[in-house]
Amino acid sequence: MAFAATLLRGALLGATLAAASAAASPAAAAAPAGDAEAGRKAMSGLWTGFNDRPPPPEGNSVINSRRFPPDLEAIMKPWVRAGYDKYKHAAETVVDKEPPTPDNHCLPFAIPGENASHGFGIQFLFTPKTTGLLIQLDSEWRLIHMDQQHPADLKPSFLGHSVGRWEGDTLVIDSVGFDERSQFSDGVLHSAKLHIVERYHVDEQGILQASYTYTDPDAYTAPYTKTKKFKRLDEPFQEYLNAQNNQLYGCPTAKTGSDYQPFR
Amino acid sequence: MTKTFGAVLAATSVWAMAGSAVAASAKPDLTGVWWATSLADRLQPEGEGAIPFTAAGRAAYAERQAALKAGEAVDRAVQDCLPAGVPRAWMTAYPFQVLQTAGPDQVTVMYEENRGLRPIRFRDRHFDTELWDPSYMGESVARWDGDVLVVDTTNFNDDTMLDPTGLPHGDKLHVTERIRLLDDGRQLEVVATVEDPEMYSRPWSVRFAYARRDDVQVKPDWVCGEPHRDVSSVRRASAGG
Repeated sequence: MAFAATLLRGALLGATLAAASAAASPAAAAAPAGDAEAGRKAMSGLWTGFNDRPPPPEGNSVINSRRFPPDLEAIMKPWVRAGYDKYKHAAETVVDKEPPTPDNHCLPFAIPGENASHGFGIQFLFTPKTTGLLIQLDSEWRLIHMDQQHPADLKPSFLGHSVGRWEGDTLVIDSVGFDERSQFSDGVLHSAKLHIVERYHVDEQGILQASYTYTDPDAYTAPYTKTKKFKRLDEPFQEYLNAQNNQLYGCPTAKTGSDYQPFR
Repeated sequence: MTKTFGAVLAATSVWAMAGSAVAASAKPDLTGVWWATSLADRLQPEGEGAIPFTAAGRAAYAERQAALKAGEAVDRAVQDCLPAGVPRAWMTAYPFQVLQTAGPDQVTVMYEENRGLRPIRFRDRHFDTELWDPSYMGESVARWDGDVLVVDTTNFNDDTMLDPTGLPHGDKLHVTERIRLLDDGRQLEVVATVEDPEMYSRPWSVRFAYARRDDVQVKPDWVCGEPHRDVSSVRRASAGG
């Protein structure tokens, strides 16, 4: 059952990747329609990612859970591509065993990672200085420091440091300071210069439209943007720890975090 | 493996029909960053002398301590960085963030240590335990008693200890916390009362206090086995015993 849970999680994350698009976000393109208060009101509650794509083809379930985004591959610099090829090879040749990722080592998955997983919820908590983002899968959370600057002396971390602002009723989150072991997509490397801008906006249909733009000139030849849709989830936030289920890498065991290294 | 996650997904009516919010408007705002200035190495009852073990509780404690000493049991909150449970999560040398919100109507505690998370909802009753798995942090509901936030938590799993020494609990563990601001909002006080008739002959309470530290930003990425922030400023106090 532990493996099934892991596969489920992999499938969820893989589906997220498959939703990737290099197109500009509708949310990003839309003119601000309201103010921050309207945005906060519209975004309250629990949300879950969704898409209307067809299900993946049958076959190796591990591979099928990982939809490698071709548009991202096209802009990888050679050192990123080399690590990614190793990861892909491992994913395609080893059956029923996931290559190492932060995710399967009980580490934070970076952005959006778990917060885009289908069926599990995310929830914004708005206070004047700090916005919280609860992520149901693995009971993760993020803190976004509103209308502030990034500190100059950031220590790299898996979720980076996030500051936020409102552009009309769109929440814009700017994150830097990422640990180079973190991955915004399975097997995908980045440099210490990774910069992520997220934009969240509730459209007229009540859908939470999100975009994620990754800029990293040391690792990619161009910025990369993917979009994501969320719909309301009519239930309370409940503790859910992958660590309880995931035994593939002996997780949880002592020092799972410091044992982890990505393919390079 | 979670037994009911799917069931909860389906049980939307549970949420839709749940008790209404009972938070009043002009209540203290607990939002902020809080950090202990001292930290005890074990739970010590507040002004009540020794921990009131039952015979079964004393035996379970002795057995746990022996197993920990012999390496036959592990402290998973330390070794595996799993959530510490309640009240142990308050025994932290690291800061934590509290966010008090009206939508959702809840107080949320994010403990830096082990990436702990507690959504505490203003509700007049708990969720149906048939639909909710027991969890590390339990399920918390809250109400205001004047300026005191009263948090009632149940439905814990059996994978936690009440403190690092191995104080036991059973599945009937019920923790009531009374949380309030002191010193014009510069301090946060938490008095946690433990009830567990299997392990303890009567309820007993322990007090924690924290300083407001809005100059500090809580970090969400605790990595098990790696060093974190400097906590040398937190005085380590032995509670004896």
